[in-house]
Amino acid sequence: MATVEIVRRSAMGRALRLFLGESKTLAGFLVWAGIAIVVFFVILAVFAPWIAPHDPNEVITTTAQPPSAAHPFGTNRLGQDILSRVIWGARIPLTVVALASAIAIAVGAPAGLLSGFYGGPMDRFLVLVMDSIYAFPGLLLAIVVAAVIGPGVVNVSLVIALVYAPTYFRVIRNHVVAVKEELFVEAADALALPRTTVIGRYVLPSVAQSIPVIFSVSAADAILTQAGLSFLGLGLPVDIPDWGVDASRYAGLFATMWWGVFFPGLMIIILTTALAFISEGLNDILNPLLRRKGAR
Amino acid sequence: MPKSQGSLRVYIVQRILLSIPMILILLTLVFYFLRAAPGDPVGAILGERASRWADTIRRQLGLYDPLYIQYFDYLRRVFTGDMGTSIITQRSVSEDIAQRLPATFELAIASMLVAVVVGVLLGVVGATRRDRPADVATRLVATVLYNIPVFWLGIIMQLVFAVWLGWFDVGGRLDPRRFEVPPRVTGMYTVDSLLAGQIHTFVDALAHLVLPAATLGLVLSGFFGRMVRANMLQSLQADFVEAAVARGIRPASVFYRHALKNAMVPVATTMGLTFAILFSGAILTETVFSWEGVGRYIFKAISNRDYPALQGAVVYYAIIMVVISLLIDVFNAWIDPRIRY
Amino acid sequence: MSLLEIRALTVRYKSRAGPVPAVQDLDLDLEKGKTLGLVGESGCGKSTLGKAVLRILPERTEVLGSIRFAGKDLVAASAADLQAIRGYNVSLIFQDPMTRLDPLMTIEDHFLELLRSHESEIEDDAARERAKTVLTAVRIPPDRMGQYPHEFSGGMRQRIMIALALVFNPTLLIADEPTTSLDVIVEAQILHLLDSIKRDFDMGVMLITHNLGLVAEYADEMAVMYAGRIVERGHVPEVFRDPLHPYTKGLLESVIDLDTKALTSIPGQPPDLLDPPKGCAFHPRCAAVMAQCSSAVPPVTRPREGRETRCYLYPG
Repeated sequence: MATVEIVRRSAMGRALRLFLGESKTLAGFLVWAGIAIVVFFVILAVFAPWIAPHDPNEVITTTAQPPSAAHPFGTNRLGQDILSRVIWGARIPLTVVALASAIAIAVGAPAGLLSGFYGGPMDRFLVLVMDSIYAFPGLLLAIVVAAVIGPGVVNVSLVIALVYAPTYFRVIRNHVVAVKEELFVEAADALALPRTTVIGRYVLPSVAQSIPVIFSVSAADAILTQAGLSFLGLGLPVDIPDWGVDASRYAGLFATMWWGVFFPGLMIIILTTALAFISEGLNDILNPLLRRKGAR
Repeated sequence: MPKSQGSLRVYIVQRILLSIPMILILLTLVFYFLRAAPGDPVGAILGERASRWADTIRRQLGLYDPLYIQYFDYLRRVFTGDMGTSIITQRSVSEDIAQRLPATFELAIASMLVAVVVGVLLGVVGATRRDRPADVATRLVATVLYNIPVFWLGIIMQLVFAVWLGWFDVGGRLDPRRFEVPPRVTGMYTVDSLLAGQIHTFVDALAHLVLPAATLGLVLSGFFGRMVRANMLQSLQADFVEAAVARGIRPASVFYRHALKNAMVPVATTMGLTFAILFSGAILTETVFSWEGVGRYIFKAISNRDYPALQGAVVYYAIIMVVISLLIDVFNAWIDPRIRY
Repeated sequence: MSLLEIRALTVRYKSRAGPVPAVQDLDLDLEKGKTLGLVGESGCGKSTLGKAVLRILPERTEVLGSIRFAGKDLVAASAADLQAIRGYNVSLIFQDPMTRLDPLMTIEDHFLELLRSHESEIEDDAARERAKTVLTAVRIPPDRMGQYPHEFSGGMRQRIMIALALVFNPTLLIADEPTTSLDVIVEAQILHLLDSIKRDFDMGVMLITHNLGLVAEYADEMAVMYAGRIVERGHVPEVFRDPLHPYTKGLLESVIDLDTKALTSIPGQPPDLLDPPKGCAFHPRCAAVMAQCSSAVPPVTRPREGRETRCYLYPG
């Protein structure tokens, strides 16, 4: 019950209700547009077997053909329809990002919460470790780990999770540290409320609001990292349709077969831009609310 | 007149001391992932598990020794600069990397230049025409730019400018048919050719730098552009800007000296992050443009299962990252006196 | 001719909810060598008025009426003219000294920039000398010129702001709550400093404040603002002895001194400028309210010599 109250009165709750009213502003529009595009891709991925005109591995033509009425995205050298491959190719990035984000949140958020709240040497140590990982170039870290633990969707997800967990950790930890200084936490402490209550009722809802924003920002990045990994030949077996893998296969042939690289890459751009829209819109909407609430 | 210089030196020392645990942590992480993590790194890289060749490599790399011995041996070798021998080139990995580092450096600097120029342009246009069509357009451009996969942009650049328009070569650092590598002073072909007075070589080297730097630079400029815009908006509203206008300071001075300069300070602060992005992007850019830098070296190491080369390159990257981050922090402290305290 | 003559000034901010009239139909005069105290609660429009004179309000603000400084109309003036006047003939010092100096520039840089903006031919050494002179006048050790703003306390930064404002011996100084964020000792020092400079240079000073004590101590004339309009004007000692407008009376009564036994305040809240009360903006809170108060805004009347007020209690 208490949680519902807090959600309702929280900035996030107001934001949700504001969305429905604020579609007319640029920020609201961005969020809706972004969500619509992401949903579109999810539908493509889930219903690929029914939406794709051909089986992605099916050999149809004998040579690579440029885009035409029969094959809007053309065919590749193996004679496979690229449109179908691109539709099926949505599955990997979406699965990997969803799985990786889930793991990253599950690890990074509680760690950040506890570390920020309790402080002390454990906090300092964790911050040093997380900052080191965070400062390290994401793709490079992903390469190193992926090279070692081998290919596979789950493995790639673990790798990406490792790269982005520190982001969740940092933002949440810093947020917790800031919230800890707020008077209402001091008041709760003075009233001798048990620590778990203080965390659960006061700190957590405030912090939980930042998760969607971090998610949309890091999800876009995660997709790019995963595509980069695939492009370099790491993480996935070659015959699974994936935008990055497909692009890498025809990278060398771009001069004669531009559509082999162009369309998979275009999909990546659209999806990541959509996620960026969501994060920008969310930021625009949540920030003024935070400011109005009087929070620093 | 006592100039405020005081604690810059103290700050530098403190910062150096802080870097040491960071390097150690990174080295340990690299060690962990490439050696101690469950899984057989050599087998994974070589693609096979039980073979005599794999076994020989494992023995060579000391993988059968107890972990702590491996760790200290590893640290020792890092500090003496001995990162083993590349399986492919059969040369010392350290030598390989030293050979290629200037190329990556050259690319990084050129890309940064592009990124800053384009980014500041996008940001300033957006901030000064807030919420008007020009602003929306620049924000959209910046967002899309940042979300373009580097390898895709690189290939499109090659396609349009090298293949279809024929203005540039598709890749490489120099046209091997017409020019020789200039005498090595820094390893950067542009600088070296200038130093040797070889103007035509310089022009060719520069021409080869254009596409890769534009690729990496444009993607990065999306990131910068958004940051500059946000910072400019804030700094144009700043109290001291209002006060400057009230004193009758000329508008150009107010804009560039007060608003823009202050807006760029946080940009300088996040340069550490920018370099991280730059290095990641460099791996892909160098691969696409056949640019013989450390990034491409890493790619080849992966494709060829060249385990020592991969480990060595990653370790050097980690150390360079920390050093650059240190330099950036010192630079920040120099330009923003408030940080020194 | 007065140094500063404001007639029928109206300032409207454009907001999402509609235009907000921060200043309405305002008349004001300020004489050379005199201090005018402008008092009112937060949100009554006094800061807006100060900024309006120098025309440094945000772009989307509507400014109507006339503001004549030494005969020149500032509302119609060109950007170049305004830039020349600001900091040179008319200076403004702000409320919050902590954030009013560029953190990346030394104090010396601030002065050099200012001097070059108005006298582009001036040499560095000459500029430095002038900076030192004026810094000494405000009691800031000139050898600290090479330091950065964050190395100075709030009181010192305000004095530096004053120095910057006075470098060119302006004839008009607008001080917008110059000491509100400072402690009382520093406050006394700064106001004393301003007062002596005013006398030395025969400057006109507009002292914007909510502190009636300062007005009593340092101002010659005073004007009371409420909801964007001036509701009373006159010589300071006369207004204090014999306040006319009920709002002024309420303000004076709420001032605490050693004899105060109980706290009194004016009941109610200042009005929402987006939806102000009909007629006299003060009437919902007025103890002497009459029927006609809610009909129309009371016109300005002069019930006594040298006194002005907007109140139906004193019909013209």
